[in-house]
Amino acid sequence: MSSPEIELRKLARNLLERKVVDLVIGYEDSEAGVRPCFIKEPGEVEKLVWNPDCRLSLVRYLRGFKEKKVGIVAKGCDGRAIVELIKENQLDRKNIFIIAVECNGVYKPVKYGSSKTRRQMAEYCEKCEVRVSPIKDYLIKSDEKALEEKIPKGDVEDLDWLSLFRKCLRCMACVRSCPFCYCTECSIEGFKPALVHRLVDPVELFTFHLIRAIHMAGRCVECGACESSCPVEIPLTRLYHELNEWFRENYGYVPGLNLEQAPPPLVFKEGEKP
Amino acid sequence: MGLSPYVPKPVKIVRIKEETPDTKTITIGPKPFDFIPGQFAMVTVYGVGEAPFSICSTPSDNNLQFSIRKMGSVTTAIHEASPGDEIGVRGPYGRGWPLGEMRKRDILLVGGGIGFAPLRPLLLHLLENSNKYGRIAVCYGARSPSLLMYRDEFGEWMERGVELYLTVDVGEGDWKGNVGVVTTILDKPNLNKAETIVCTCGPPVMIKFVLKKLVELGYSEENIYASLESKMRCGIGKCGHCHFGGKHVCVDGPVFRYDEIMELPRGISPF
Amino acid sequence: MRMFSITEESLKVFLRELSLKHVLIAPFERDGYFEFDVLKNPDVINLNYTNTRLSPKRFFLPQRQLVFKHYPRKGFTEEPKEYSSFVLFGIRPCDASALSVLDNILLSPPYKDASYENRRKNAIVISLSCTKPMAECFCNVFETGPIRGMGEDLTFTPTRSGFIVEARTPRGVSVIEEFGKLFRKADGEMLEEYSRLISKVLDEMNRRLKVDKTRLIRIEKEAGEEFFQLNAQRCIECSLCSFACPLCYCFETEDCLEKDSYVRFRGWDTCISPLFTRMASGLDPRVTKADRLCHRFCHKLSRIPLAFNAYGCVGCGRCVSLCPAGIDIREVLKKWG
Repeated sequence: MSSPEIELRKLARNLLERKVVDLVIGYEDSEAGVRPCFIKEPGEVEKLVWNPDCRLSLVRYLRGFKEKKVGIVAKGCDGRAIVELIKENQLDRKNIFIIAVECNGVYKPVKYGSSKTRRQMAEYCEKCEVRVSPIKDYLIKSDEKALEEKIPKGDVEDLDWLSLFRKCLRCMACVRSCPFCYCTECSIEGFKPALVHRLVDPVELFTFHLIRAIHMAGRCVECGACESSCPVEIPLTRLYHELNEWFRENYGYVPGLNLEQAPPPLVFKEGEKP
Repeated sequence: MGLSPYVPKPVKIVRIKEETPDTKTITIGPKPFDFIPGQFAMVTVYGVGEAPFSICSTPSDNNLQFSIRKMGSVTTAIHEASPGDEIGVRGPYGRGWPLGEMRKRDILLVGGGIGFAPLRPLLLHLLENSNKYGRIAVCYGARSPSLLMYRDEFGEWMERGVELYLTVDVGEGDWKGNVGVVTTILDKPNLNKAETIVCTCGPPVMIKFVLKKLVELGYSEENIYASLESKMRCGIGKCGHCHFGGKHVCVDGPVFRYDEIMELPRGISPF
Repeated sequence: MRMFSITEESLKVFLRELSLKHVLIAPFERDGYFEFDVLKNPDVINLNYTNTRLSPKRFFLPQRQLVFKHYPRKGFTEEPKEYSSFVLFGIRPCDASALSVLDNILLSPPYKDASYENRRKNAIVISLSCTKPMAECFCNVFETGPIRGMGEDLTFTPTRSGFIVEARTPRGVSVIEEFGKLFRKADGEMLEEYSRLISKVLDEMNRRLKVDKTRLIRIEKEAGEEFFQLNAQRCIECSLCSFACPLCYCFETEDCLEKDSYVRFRGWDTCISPLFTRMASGLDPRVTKADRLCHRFCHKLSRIPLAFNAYGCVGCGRCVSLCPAGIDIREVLKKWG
């Protein structure tokens, strides 16, 4: 057991015993791999783990516990997502106890039918500059690290996005794992008449991904939840990173760094031209 | 029908009648298939979608009728259609009312709101063959008098010997009848309770209280049947949408006997 | 006699000739994972692959397919009638067994799923045995592998000296006859190796997970709230488990307009989605995530067995590995099996 884990369990036990929080959302180990767990009793804290396989952002689960006090294990990107969601009035800061864990990159998942079983650091972690959550109630230092092995990659323009999106199964794993996809009805389902005919033409899936990409611009914190959940390995984070860069250049805004700077789309400046 | 059981047959709308403020009865014809009262058909509005509807005309009619409440995209499209338009239909699907069991017995029909639609073909069939069956009583309730369907037929039904009891949750206008939920009039029909076959359809909460009350009143559990509803995409037990606790509503239902209903998982079971 | 053998060289010739005569679908590597697709060049086939990321069910139940086109002006409805024939080579025994279960369900009277029947009729399925099952695999539980499956026409099993080939159906025998010169009758030694291999790999898997599958039908009656609520908290309601599953067959339809016709498509659906049972009136017989999760497992492990004398899970392990939230059907098996 690593020392960050010991510290994490001690903290979780303390928070639950003193009833500072109703539950702690963290990661546990299982036969199927590291997965989210929801600790409600101090006796369960021994389940908690921390290692570079803790990749799925837990922030998406916060919207299920809006009325509760929740302790959440947050990497740098997860903390940024919380910041951004507080600014969008989706979360209440005083209900969240952020257990910031220093993150040095997570592994790209080796999934069923992967032809390469060597472990590599996820591509989006290489670009990451925020290893610790910008807002926190407790910081756990850690030097747990994914092996840094560069994945060869081209420019985002070089990718054939149409053929990548053609592989899309519309399984919604990207949407459902994303901290920011909190719409109760997604453009791809539930609308009558349909916004996107998901069964009709694969090209319509391109429309769906464009809708999603536009909504992620200037919000995505590049936590990679979508990309690591995707069964057909569409490098979505690369697309959103590119959009974020465009946003940074044009508006000087980087999502999730602080609670003060308002997201540009929510601000109206007098004399501003559309 | 062609190769695939999922392909509807195009039929013309003959007539559209406004039944209540939110319900229209469409007549389509000529009817492409024969059916048993209580069975349903999948109705397609081309380009919009397909949904299951109870057939509400009598089996001896040359046309098919459906009473359709405006709810989602398909029903809205049907409400906007006009006579002469083409819609698709396939069926008949499911298990209808147990006509064989009803021979020589008294029959009680209990309906709630639009839930009377699957009971109407049964009632009309019983009236057409009244020598084969015992007395017929109908208890029918709706939220308000204007939501009672088939009002213009009530007189004829009574003339032909039906004991008809009506009730509304909230009275309005010149309503002089009973006010209260349908369970408040269930004790009125004068029937041989132990031998009577009861058929009921309506919203799940109504079915729940009707079944309870019927058993309290002394009707026999093995003679009580209810028609349930569910989302469906195929109507033939393949698409999985109406699969609950090992039963497909489309194949094993929509008409279930009391004991079968009690075994269904919560949610689809009114209990 | 239905046991044959083929050398590795002859297998290459077999695949080459197969690809010339038929549409050949086989496993190969693409974008970092194994996948089935139509192959013109059989040299790219990977015979040592683990299993494909997504199940080969899509060749029989495509993710989206046309149901009909209706031409209002011409007043007729057109439906796809005949699907092209193909050879599916190298499918793993678990996935082949899934096809046999699907046959039970989709072709059960009185109505047959016509497009599935047609595709199935026109396909030759050749399986490739697993001698090194993956960590996620548990086909031993349902006896759907690892060496022999249930729905294939031919079973190819790698041995030290080539492949043992078992013809499982008359169609399989006719394939052997068609390419007769490449196959030899299997000798006694090979047959012995075959049966040794079957019990060896099975033993290995049984040491990992041993479940009495006949006890699983208890889940319907004994499914407590706690287990499913715990996992429902985790479940993110994506459709990955159903879409990756070689056996999930539920479908959704969608209508739309084209230039001169109305069309209906059908495609995969999932019972995990909150929209699966919600009616237009807003009424939903299955509201909670825990109920939906429970339905998924009960359907596979209790209701399909009761109705069709087969199990709704073949132990391929895809849902275990691909679930972003780590929901593990093996925990269900251990708890109720």
